[in-house]
Amino acid sequence: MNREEEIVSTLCTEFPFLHERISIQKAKRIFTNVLRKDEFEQVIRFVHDEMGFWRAHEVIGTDDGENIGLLYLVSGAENIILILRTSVPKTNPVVKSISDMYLSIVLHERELVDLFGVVVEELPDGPSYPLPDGWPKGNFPLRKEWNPEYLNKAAMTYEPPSEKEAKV
Amino acid sequence: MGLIQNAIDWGTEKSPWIIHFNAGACNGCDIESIDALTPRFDLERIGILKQGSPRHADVLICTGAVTLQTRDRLIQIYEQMSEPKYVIAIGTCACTGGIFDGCYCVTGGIDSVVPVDVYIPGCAARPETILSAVDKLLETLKKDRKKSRAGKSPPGKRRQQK
Repeated sequence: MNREEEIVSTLCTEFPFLHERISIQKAKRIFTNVLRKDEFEQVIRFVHDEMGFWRAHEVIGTDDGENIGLLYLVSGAENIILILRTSVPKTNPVVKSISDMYLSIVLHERELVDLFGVVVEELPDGPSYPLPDGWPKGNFPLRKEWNPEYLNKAAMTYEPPSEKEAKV
Repeated sequence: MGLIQNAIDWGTEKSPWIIHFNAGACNGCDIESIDALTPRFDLERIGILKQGSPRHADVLICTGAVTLQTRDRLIQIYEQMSEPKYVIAIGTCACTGGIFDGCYCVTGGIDSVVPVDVYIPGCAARPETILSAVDKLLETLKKDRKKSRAGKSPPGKRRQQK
């Protein structure tokens, strides 16, 4: 049994709900299927505290239509990257920050806030990142329904055609 | 006054001082523009000096597409330069916006913000093309000087910012 299989079996014995929802994609890459929010919080706290996954690489956000998918990439001394997937609905995109465990993840979580409109609870205070000053509020440029053509870059306003017609 | 103006024109033409500004480049064109100053290509042998302050520079060398974060800084640096001033856009992104054109945070090429005299395409632009572009810019400077002598284009009012 190689190290990746050991990690998978440890996780499956600790969390029965991971059975058949976690797979080794190739050497040093372990993926999980989409986990519920509470499942994800349990798993990431366990791999950080007990299994030596002390380094967070990044958080990837994806627009999956009605949901926003989140991929958390963490690894440890053996350079095996564990990719934990979770998802939040667009109507209530709330996720808990993992910056108490992984300090370097703060910038990536700020990107989620600015670019996807995810509300990250318990995120430390700080300036917005990476969108420029004066960016119109409530516009999340990496969501698929957002169209860059309707952004007036000189005045920094976002006016879709329906709103323009309503004004006329 | 004419003598002093002639001396300024002569100095600008023989030894233009440059300042480099990264408006949002990936660093590829920055490396190549610094490479043009190294002994192998050696822009300094034709009198070009790199300056740290825009107030001392005649030529603004820009790389990268202009992002919304750098737009105001670019305008500020351009306005700090004294007339006559010239702008060189290095690389495809600086010329047209490149692959970033139309992105939510990019206004386009350098010419979407300040007027550009010389465009150098390429990803990244090679130091040889930068040398060639500087050569062309020097020709422009000579023409401008002739025009200025003939009174066709008074210095300081030649270009308006967009």
